[in-house]
Formats: sequence, structure tokens, C-alpha cells
Amino acid sequence: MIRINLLPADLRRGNRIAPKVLATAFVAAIAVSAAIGWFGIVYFGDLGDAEAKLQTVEAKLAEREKRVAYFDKLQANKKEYGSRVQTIADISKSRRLWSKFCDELIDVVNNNGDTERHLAWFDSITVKGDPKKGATVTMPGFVQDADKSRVANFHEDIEAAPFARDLIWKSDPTFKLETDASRVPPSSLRFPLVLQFEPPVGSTKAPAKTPGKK
Amino acid sequence: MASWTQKKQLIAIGGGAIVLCLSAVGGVYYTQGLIEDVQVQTTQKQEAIVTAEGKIAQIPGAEREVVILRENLDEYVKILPDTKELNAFVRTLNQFERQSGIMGTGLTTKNSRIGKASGQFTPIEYTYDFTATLWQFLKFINLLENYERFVSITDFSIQSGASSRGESSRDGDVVHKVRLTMQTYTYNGKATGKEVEIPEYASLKESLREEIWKRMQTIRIDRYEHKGHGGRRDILIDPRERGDQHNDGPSPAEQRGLLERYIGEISRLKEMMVRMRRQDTTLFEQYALEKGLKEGLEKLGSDIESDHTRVSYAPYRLRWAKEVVAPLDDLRGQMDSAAKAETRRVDPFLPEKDMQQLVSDMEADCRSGQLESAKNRYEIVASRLGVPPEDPRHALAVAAKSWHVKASTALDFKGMDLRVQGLVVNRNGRSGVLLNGEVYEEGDYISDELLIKLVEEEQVWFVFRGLTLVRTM
Repeated sequence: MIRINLLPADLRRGNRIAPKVLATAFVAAIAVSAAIGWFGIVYFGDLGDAEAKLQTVEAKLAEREKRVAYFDKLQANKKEYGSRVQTIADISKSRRLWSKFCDELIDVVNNNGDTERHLAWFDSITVKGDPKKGATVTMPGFVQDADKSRVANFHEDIEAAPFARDLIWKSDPTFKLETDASRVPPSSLRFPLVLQFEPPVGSTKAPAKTPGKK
Repeated sequence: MASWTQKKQLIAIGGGAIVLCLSAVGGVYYTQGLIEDVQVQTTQKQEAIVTAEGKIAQIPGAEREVVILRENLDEYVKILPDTKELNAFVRTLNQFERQSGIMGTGLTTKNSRIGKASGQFTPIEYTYDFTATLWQFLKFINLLENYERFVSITDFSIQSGASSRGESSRDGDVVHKVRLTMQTYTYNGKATGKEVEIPEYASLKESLREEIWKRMQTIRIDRYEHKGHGGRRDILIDPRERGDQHNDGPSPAEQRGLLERYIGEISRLKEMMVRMRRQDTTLFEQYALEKGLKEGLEKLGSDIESDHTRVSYAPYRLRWAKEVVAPLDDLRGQMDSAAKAETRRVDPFLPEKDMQQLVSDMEADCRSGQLESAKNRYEIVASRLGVPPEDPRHALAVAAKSWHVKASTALDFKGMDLRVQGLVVNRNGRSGVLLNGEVYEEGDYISDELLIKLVEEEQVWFVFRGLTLVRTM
């Protein structure tokens, strides 16, 4: 039997969107909308906020960078001047004031005019500086008279002199009797005197002390 | 699609939705990554801001430091110059030579020993040969060591001129031969070139003036002020006497005696000074001590002038300088400062209490015949008795003056050569006296100032300078 459907085409049962399909499409539309909305919020909201914040921070930093550059220049100047001061301090440590040493030595030899304890004099004074080992002072000298204790007295006074604080070694008291008929008294005791000073601060360590020496 | 089966339609819708949702989730994931990157950058920039703010906070301190350092730059450049400036250095050596009196014989440069070892500075070495007395040598090296440019003396040798034949002398001291090696330095540090411009520099500099000065002191290198000769002997000369040369002056033993006599006199004057300053010393004793001290110093000063050349033995010269000349100068200084303090006193006159004491003491002395003592009491404080009439102490000053006149007149009278050889006492008329071989009657003038007032059996009354005085037989 021939069946004729007289309903309009879209209302015909066979051509209608099935509720299942409709429901699925609806759910799918909601899910897609939600997903795209979430993306929109994240992209245009959070990312925009973060970028705006970054711009603010960058502007703030740019503003401070001028002052920082000024500070860096100040630091460079300070470093340059400071380096010179440090250099001056370094080289000044390497110096011994020989006029001070000589004055102190003259005081020891003169002994406040007391000629009973010792009356000494020197042939020469030689100072040899060494930045690593320290300065060596060589002074061949004499004490008046043949009294040997005067050599010991003089050595004792040298050991007690202010400059002796910086000594690492001093020669022992030895002597040789000499006679000069043209002098009164004619006899004197010749002795060698060698003083070894500490090296300047910051130099290589000096040789170890000789046993029995100051 | 209309021809699609329902199943196919469901798969298409579901698949499309899933693809879209997954794309959106992927987009979110990607965006979160971007956000994290931006946040990391933001954090980094914020950290940079914190660091920058830390630096900015240090700007005032750094500015102060740079101003202080820059203001002292001249000082650093003087001590450690960038350039060698050796011509100026040699000129300075010449100036020091003239100042110290040494005689330069040669200046040579030496190869640097530590130049390569130190990157900050380059040493330049000079060896200088010259002749000098010990004192000239010391002055020269002291000038070098105190020079504004850093100079270090590394080696030196000084050979006694006394040991060589035909010793020469300068200013009475033997000339020695000296070889001296010195180092000076140049700074190697690289300069950044440009000095940063500090706003309100002038006012900042003004506010830091004290700090700038203090810092300048700290960068200064060690200096030493040489003591000078100070009576000390040259340690490179044999101080013993020469037996082969005739000496006109006193022997060392005599010189020692002379020295000890002066030392004794100095200690006596020092003792007087101590006593003068003691609290329990009376004012009059103080004045007497002051007078004695002044006279003693004057005498000692003139004696020293004549005797200082007699102490020629080298070991005694130091004692002479230290134990005679220096204490004498010290005593003189103390007396001068005491005199200055005296002039600074508000009241230049003697206090009333002391004046009363003076008058009563003088009166007691005059009455007991201690005329010399009365006179001395007055003369010690005479400079403080010129009290003006409006001062209440004027009457006391006048009384003291009056007693002084009496005592002085009586002493002058006592010192006159009046030999009474005979008397004639006339109860009814003028009595007479045989004086120094001449006869005088009462009322007669012996001289312009001396009159015979009364002659009695046991005594003769004179009027001398308006004062009645009695001479007993």
C-alpha cells in the first residue's frame, strides 16, 4: 500500500532533529561557550593585568635607573680615589724613617752625657734596605778605654733603644783592643755592630731569629 | 548533514565541541605560561627596583664620600703623582741641599727593584753622593722624609770624614762622605677620566669641611721632626782628647768641675723656684725668693756667656746643653710666665692685710734697730705699694714709705764718718762738740743735710734729712 505523507517536509517525523541530537548540541554549545569564555577571561583578564603591572614596574624602574647610573658614577669616582689612598697606605708601610733611627742612635751613643757607662763612636754607618728581608745596618764602632764591660753596656743600651722594637737580630758583643798613642786614653775596644730590622709590613717573612740574639 | 544519521550527527557535534573545548583549554594553558613569564619579569624588575632603591639610598653617603675624597685629591696627587714630574723632584733636592747645607757631588738613577712587582705604583730610584756634617746629613734626610711627595730612603752609607786624611769641617763639625739611595713613586692606577657632577657641591663641601680636614690628616704619611744638634756630639768622630795637639783651654777634669759648678747653681735656683711656689711660703719670703732668683738668673746668664766656650770636651757638651743651658732657659721661661701672670692680676697692689703686716713688721724692725731688715722688707714689695690716694690702702702705703725713709736715713746716717772727739756741755748757753777735728755748737750745720740739735754729756742729737737721730758716746 502506498502511503502519502501530507505533512510539511520539516514536520515530517523522518526529517525532524532528534531530541537526542538537540540535547547533545545544546550541551556541546554550553561546554564550548564555557571553554572559550574561560580562555577569554584568562587571556584578556589575567594576562592583561600582568602586563599592565609589568609596564608599571618597568616605568618605575626606568625612573630609578637615572639615579642608579648617577650612583654608579659616584662609586667609580670613589673607587678611583680610594685606590690611590690605599696605594699610599701600602707604600707608606714599606718605609722606615731613618732620620728618626739616627736621632735615637745618637741619643744612645751620647747617653745623656754619661761617659762612665760607655763612650762610643763609629767609623761608618751603612744601611742596606731589602723589601723582603728587611734593612741591615752595619756600624763598625769603638768604645773608649780597655774596660770590656763598656762594650756590654753599650750593647745593652742599643737593645733598650726605641728602634730595638723592630729588630729581629743584633750582632753579639765582641771586641778587639786597639791602641792609638795620639789619643788620651790611648786604648779603645773596636767592635762590629750589625742590626737586622724586620721587613716592611706585607713583605715576605724574614729569616728566623739566630739563637741567642735579640 | 540532514541526510546524516543521528549517530553521525551526535559524533559530529560532540567531536566539534570537544575540539573547541580542547582548543580553549590549550589557549588558557598557553596564556598561563605568558602570565607566568610576565610575572617573572615583573618580579625581576621589582627586585631591580629594590636594588636600585638600595643604591639610591646610598647616594647621599656616596656623594659625601666623593666630595671628601675629591677635596683631598690634591693631597693624594702631591704624595703620589700620576706623572713622574722628576724635574720638579730634582729641583726640590737642590732646595733641600741648600736648606741643609750638604754639598752634592752626583745624582744617578738606578733600575727599579720592585717596579714590576707592584701594579699600583712604579718606584723610581736615585743615588745621591754628597758630603755633609752629621747634622747636615740628618737634616737633609729629614727634609726628604717629610717632603710632601712620598720618598723612601732605601740605602745609605756614611763614612766618617775624621778617618780620612786632611779632614775638612763646616760650622766647626767634621764633614763626612755620604751615598744615599732614595725611591720616589708614580701612581699607575687608571683614571676613569670624568668626574661626576654632584648637585649643590659647594654647600655639601662647606658642610663637610671638618670631615675633609680630618680625612686629610689620616692620609698623611708618617713624618718625624728631627731634633737637631741639641748639644749632642757627632757619633762618627772619636771623642777622645788628642795627646799630640796642644790645648789652650781647660783640661777635661777642669771642664767637668766647671760643668758641675753650673749644675749646682742651677739646682740651687730650681730649689728657690720650688720654695717660691710652695703654699706655706709667706708673701714676703716669696718676694725675697723671687728677687734672689732674678738676680741669680741674671748672674748665671752672664757667666754662661763667658764660660760656654770653655766646655769644649765633646762628651760634656751634651750635659752642658741639657743640664745647664736648657734648665736655665726653662727657669727664665717660668719667671717670664710668672711675671706675665703678675701683670694680668686685677689688683696690682699689695692686699690690705699684707700692707698692715708690712707696716707693723717695719715698725718692729726699726724699734729693735733692725734697720736693714726694715729697708729690705719695703724694697721687696716696693713695686706693689704705689697705691693711689683714693685707695683705702693709701694711708698704709704712706706709713710703710715713712718707715722706709726712716730706716734708709738712719742707715745712711750710720754709714757717715762722724767721729765725736770731745764734748762741752754748757747748761746756760750753747754746748759744743769736737767732731772730726772741728768744733761745732748746737744749731750748727755740719753739711746741708746734717745739723747738731743738742749736745748732752752722754749723747749728741743730730737732725739728718729732717729726722732726729741720737749718737751715744
